[in-house]
This record gives sequence, structure tokens and C-alpha cells, in this order.
Amino acid sequence: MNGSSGPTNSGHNEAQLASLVKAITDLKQQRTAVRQRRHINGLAIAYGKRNNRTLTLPGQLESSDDPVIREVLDAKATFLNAHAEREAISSTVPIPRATIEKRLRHLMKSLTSNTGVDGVKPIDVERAAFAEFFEIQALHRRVGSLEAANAAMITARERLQQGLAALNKHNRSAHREEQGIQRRLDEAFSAARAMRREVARSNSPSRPTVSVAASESLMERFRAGQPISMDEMHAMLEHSSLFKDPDPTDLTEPTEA
Amino acid sequence: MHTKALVDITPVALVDLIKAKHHQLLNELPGLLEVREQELSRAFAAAKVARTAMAEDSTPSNTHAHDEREAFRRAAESRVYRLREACANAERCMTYWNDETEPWRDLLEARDRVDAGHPPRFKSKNNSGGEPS
Repeated sequence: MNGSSGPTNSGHNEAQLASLVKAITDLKQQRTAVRQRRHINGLAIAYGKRNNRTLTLPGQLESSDDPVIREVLDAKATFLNAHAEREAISSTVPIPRATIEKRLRHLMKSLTSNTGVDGVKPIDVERAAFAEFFEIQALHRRVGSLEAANAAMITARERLQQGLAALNKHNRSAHREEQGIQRRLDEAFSAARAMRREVARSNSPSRPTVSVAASESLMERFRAGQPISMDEMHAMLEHSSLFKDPDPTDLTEPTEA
Repeated sequence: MHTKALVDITPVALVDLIKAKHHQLLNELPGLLEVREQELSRAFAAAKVARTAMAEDSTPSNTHAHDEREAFRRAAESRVYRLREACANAERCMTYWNDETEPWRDLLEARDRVDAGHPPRFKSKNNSGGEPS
């Protein structure tokens, strides 16, 4: 670029630069929004994990209106309730269903089967067996409740896992979105940098230019040891190979001068 | 008995089954006891004869016969005692389960505790013994 078409191009470039800066600002805002979304998604994923039994909900999540996050929070609350209910029942059922049923059969046989003289027990033993039979029978009913609570917990856990899977997917798409914005931002940065250089170049004062022939004659004068001005020197440097590496063949052959 | 029947049986129904068992026992045991008492009388008499014979002439055969009859007498006596104890137990049980005031209803306290959400009374490796939580 030379300085002849300066004012027109410079104005155009500055307008382009301004639009690029505006685009960069917009992209940065979009990137911040996506990053914020990903941060909240990350909090929700950590909170929703099955092994996290913490009941304190991070404050940023409470105010979130994202349906995917709301679903995870609801599913987590349901799961925690179902888990607590199941644990409460489980702590009162110390033996499994099969053992309970085996014991019921044994007690029933002992109480009602006529096995002859040896089967006749003292009244205290019979009373204790009678009390234990109905205690075990009640325990069997609790096993039924435990199994129902267990099934409810499994359903809640599956719902939570599905919610978390959806949230993970949501988060990955936000990550891709952020990467896309970053790519566009990088391109806009480099375009703006180039445009800034263009504008600076077009705004700097124009230097004197010389033709190749004039440059050659200046070089001749320089070699001859004649004085040259700084402007001429500068113009000559624009075209000459004075400061370039010498031709390698020059090193092996004697100079003509 | 099928598990469902065991789980569904009511206390009254179980008491009826227990009473039926004791009724049957009280029909069977006295006759059996009479037979065993007769057996014991015979065993006692035989042992007495053997003891006298051994006292008069303690030959090995007399000693052996005495030991055998004495062992039989002891076994017969044991059977009679067990039968008498069984008869007495069956009668006590019958009296208890037939009681009009239904004292067995007090035995359902443990069931009610478990139904109310408390752990059972018996100990297990996972439980501290049924203390109310």
C-alpha cells in the first residue's frame, strides 16, 4: 500500500476495525455467558451425582431456570427422599426375607404340629414361640415395605441418571458452542490485529520513494564514497541489497575493486 | 404350609391350631401313659426279681440279667416321667390357650412394636438388639 489513496482507505479500514472490535466485544459476552452456563452445569452435575448425599444445594443452582437443571434437581430431591425412606426401613429389618420365611415355617411347625411326646413344650416356650411368630410376621410385612421403598429408590435413581445424562449432553453442547465462539474470536482477533496494522500504516507519514534506476545510481554514488543524504540513504535501502547476506560465491572469489 | 398362608394367618387362627394340637395330644397321651406305666410296673418287678437273684448268687449270668433289667427299668421310668411331664404341659397349655380372657393377646406386643417401625427384639449382626430407635 502506498500513501496516495490514504484518506479513503484509512476511513474504510477504521470503520472495519470498529465493526471488528464490536464483534469481538459481542463474542466475548457470548463466551462469558456460555462459560457461566457451563459453570452452573458443572455445579449441577456434581450436586446430582448419585454418591453425593449432601443436602445443601449450591445457591447458584437454586435460582437456575434451565429446565434440564431443574429436572436434575427434582430427580435428586426425589432420590434423596427415597433413599432416606429406604434406609429408615432397612435399619429395622435386620434379616433377609428368606431367613424370615424359614423362621416362620419353623415356628409354625413347632407350635401346631403334633410330633408326639417330644414335641410338647412347656407353656413358656410355647408363649415365646407364639410372640416371635407374630413379630417375625410383622417383620415380613416390613420386608414388603422395604422392597417397595427399594423399587421407588431405583426408579428415582434411574430418573436421576437420565437427568444427569441429559445435563452432560447439554454441557458438552455448551462446550462445543464455547469452542466455536473461541474460534470465531481468535479469527476476529487476528483480523482486528491486521486491520489495526493497516490503519496504523495508512495513518503514518509517507516516505519518499525512488525508482529502481535512481536507487542504482544512489548505490553507485555510495560505493564511490560520495556523500548522500539520510532520505536518499533510506530510499536506497528500500530497494538495495546492501544489508542482505552476500552471495556465497563472493566469498571465494576476489572482488573486482 | 405355603408362605402366603404363614404371612396371612391371624393370632386367633393360630391359637385354634395350637388348641387342636393339644386336644389331639390330650387324647393320645393318657392312653400312652397308661401303657408305659404298665410297662414300668413290669420292668420294676423284673428288676426286683433280678436283684434278689443276684443277692442270693452273684454269678455272672445273674449279674448280667440284673444289669439288663435295671437298665430297662430306668429307661421305662424315664419314658413315664417324660410322658407325665408332657401330659402336664399339654394340660397347662390347653388351659392357657382356652382361657376366656385371652391372655395370649399380651404376646402380640412385640408384633405391634415392629408394626410401629421399631426393630425386632432378637439380636442380629446388623442390629443392636431391638432397642427402640
